[in-house]
Amino acid sequence: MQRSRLPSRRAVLRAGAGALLGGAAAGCAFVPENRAHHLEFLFWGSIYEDRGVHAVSRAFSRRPGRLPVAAQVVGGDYATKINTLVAARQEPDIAYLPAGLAMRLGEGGLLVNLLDYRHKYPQIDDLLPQALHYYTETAAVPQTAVEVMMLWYSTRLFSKAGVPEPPVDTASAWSWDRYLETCDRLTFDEKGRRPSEKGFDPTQVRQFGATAPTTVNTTLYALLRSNGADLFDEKGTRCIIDSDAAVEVVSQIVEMMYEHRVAPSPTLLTSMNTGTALLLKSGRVATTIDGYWNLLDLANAQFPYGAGVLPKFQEPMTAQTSGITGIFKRSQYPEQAVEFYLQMADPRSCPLYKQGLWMPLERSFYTDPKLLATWTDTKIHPAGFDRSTAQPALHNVSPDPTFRIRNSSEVFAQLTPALDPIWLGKHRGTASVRKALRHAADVTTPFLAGVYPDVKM
Amino acid sequence: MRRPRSGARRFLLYAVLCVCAAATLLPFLWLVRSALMKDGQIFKSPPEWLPSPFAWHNFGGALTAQPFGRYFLNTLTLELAIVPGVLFVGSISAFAFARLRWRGRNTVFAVLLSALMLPYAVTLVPTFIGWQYAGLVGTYVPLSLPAWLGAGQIGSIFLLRQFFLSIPRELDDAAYVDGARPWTVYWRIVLPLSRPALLVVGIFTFIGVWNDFLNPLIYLADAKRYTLSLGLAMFQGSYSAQWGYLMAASTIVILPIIVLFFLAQRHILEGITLTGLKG
Amino acid sequence: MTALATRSSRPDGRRRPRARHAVGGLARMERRWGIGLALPVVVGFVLFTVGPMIASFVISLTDWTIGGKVRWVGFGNYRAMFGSDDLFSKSLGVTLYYTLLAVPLGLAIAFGASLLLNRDVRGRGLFRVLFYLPVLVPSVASAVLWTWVYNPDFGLLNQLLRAAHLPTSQWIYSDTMAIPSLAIMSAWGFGNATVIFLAGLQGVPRHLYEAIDVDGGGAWAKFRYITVPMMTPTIFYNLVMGLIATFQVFNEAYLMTSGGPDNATLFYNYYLWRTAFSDGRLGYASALAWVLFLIVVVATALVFRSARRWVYYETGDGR
Repeated sequence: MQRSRLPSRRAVLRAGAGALLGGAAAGCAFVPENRAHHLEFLFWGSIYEDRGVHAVSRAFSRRPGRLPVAAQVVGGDYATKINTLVAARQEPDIAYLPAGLAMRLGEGGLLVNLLDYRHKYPQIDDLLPQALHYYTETAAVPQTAVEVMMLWYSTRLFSKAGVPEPPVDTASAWSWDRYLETCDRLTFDEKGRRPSEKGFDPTQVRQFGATAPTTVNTTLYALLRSNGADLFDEKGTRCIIDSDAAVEVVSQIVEMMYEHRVAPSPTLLTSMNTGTALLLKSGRVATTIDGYWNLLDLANAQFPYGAGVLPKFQEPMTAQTSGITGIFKRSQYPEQAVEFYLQMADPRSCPLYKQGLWMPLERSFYTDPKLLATWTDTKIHPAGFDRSTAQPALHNVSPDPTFRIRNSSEVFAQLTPALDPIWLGKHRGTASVRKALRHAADVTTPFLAGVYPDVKM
Repeated sequence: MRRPRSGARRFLLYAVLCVCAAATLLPFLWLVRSALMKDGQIFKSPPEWLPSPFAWHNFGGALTAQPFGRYFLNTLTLELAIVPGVLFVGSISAFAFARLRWRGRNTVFAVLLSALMLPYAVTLVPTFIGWQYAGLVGTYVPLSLPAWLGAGQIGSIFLLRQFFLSIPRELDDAAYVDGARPWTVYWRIVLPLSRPALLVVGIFTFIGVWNDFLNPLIYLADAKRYTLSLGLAMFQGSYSAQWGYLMAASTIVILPIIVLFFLAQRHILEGITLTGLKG
Repeated sequence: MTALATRSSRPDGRRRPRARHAVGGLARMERRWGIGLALPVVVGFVLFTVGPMIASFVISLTDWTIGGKVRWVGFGNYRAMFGSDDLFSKSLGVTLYYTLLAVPLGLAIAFGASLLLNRDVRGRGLFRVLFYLPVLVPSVASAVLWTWVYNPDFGLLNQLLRAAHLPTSQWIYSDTMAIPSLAIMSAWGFGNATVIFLAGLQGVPRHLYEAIDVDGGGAWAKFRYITVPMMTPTIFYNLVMGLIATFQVFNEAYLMTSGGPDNATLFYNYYLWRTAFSDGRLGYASALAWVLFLIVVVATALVFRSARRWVYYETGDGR
């Protein structure tokens, strides 16, 4: 038998003993931690969000009589983590929740009704109505923050092309045609030709004027609502994305990519997509419709950017979304959890508003100029931001339909893929788009199960 | 090892090897070049291969953005708690299934294999509830103890069994004739002859623990106990990813296992052959 | 050579003459030790597999939605699956198609690579590491690479095809090419199987090759009559493990395609995960899991059954 250079059995034994010793040394990780008398808070987000949350946690815990906050950030697969915890009835005290899950948990009686605390904490009555989501006629959960869609752009590319920048007032919002025209002036192939010029080479585009707003519950939704269309009927029993008004919007977006050629196709976009901030900074794209939260990345990217209101079909309109922050009934300290939530919701104590990640939930932070300034008067918020953001957030806003309809995750799991072929350019022309949208509506409708109560505060 | 004879065939062999190596090197090169780029350049289209400028700060930035030193020690602790268990329990049970004759062993083994076939997503919740009753959620016990009972390691047992089966039976029989007990056969005959296989299982387990994301995600409740893979996941935010940091941290995180693999592969392949035994 | 060939293709090694020893005592000892050494794993299996399995089967008979009420529905979930769930049949079809492509492709490449790496070539160690690298690169990072490789507009593949004046493809963005594209991509992860093949190749006794030399056989004869038969246990292992793993493919859909375009890459396990942790429908997801489980069990059993005809063991009594 040949002797090999492999470790001998004795070496294996020694390694094993070492392992046991090492294990014993790190043994503390094998013993349960005492997490009683903590406020357990589970959330997702980037490293910036993690830092912001920890700043609030520390400030909160320093106040007399307040519990320490055990804030755990979860990267990657949040859905699996939170669902497992809930299924095992091992919920944290307070947690970020995706919309569909939050509504379901509320209805299932697992969440604290924030409205129960409105007498003790009058700020609750100041919350924007579209940021509160009712799972019964009298019970609601709040959003983590407010996020509206805006028209982000690179000021450098506008001035280089000599094109006026987008308006910051909803009253003067661009029409869709005006937007397309502007995008045409901001799109260039490698030889510097524009799409409307002869010889434009669509395979060699250096700079696009826009990205196609195709996210069904936010960017697309804002434009649909602007044209008077909607995704679902009032009762939430039928998908109506095949209405004439919706067909018009969707056809226009398809044309934008494949006819006017001012926006990249989805295949092209995924391969250059580093997120909105870098798309604009790199000059690959001159404008893009996306959420407020991008401001944080834009500010970090250090280049001149601007923000305007969305172009309109008929009415100026934007969409509004965010996750939910839910407080679990199982918590032994629901009141402290509510207080912690309100502290997170206050731009004066939470840095994430000023940093451009969140917009406030309380109305007075939009209406009272002094309070508005606490989070918009910064170096990173572009000029006119108080108007371009505050006005639409209050008046021209459609909340993400994910909150309103029941069974939303399954509904969107049907609807979104059914639209894929349209965005990939397989259906051109109104008649073909209409047919594809009818198909999308047909596959989605069977999964609709009504709506949650629509309560106006 | 066979040495190809003619020069032309030898050239062909190297050509094929180089083409394959170029293809397999591609993902790694991509990772490294991205780690050295600013976020804007990573996604330039058409893509570029040379970073300009070299964004060395990605490495520093990524490693200081989170306590990677702690994550590294945590991951190492888990490795030490899991790998020996897999090797020990894996080899004794593979020995029982491959070299000891008892009625029903193939049936039992086939039933054990079924553990691989049930999708993880649905056993997750019941298993979690079990650990919660044991009061051990948040610790490393749910991540490491099952390995000592072969749970999640049926693949390793299967692999070792296949290798044990390829050792000539006559060796055991000769030992038994000399009055040996099964333990002696396991320790003195089967284990020494199966070192390549044990090393393969050890390496695979090590890499598996190193990269495991789901188990630590579910069972750990405190960032102080996070592992490297959870740290990496933090760079992929829900809305935007810090690609430069992600790529840089990924490069650093996989370097140790590349080195480990390089050191181990020689032993896997230049271990004992059975030639001397039978010939 | 003829003798060897017959021996290695003998279907049932059990007919070989038994070694001579005191049968009774040894048999009892082997049984005791066998059961004793297998015990920890059996205990682990009962605790960590049987328990959760039974639990998930019971859950599959309910309509448990995470956070909601639980109602007993009997086999209602299973009826719904086969009656009205288009995504169930779609995802099953997608997964079967992918398995049929990816498993043989992966096996062939891994086996070929192991033969190459087993040669006495300079820098062998380096080549082995290079061949293994794709396994180590985190899938998040390689997903970005592959998105570029498959990009229809300027991706690597289409660039090469254009340079060769061949027709290009939409790759992962085409509902017909998406699955083959992902199968090709999966072939890059052949490293694990290759390592196992390599370890197996070390166990092929060299004197058998020498016997072929004596008989005047060439490289093909060695490959066909020695390497392949002697490697059948390893091939068998990689086939079974590859099959089981591929049926449960998840990451490609999760990281790259989200099941699109138009559900063309809606892998079964991805659909299952979405049902459980996005829709929260644990009851239905458990039913989905059990159907997949049964399918994989049947597929594996078929492979095991066929193994009697083509897998050769030295000990003669493995199955």
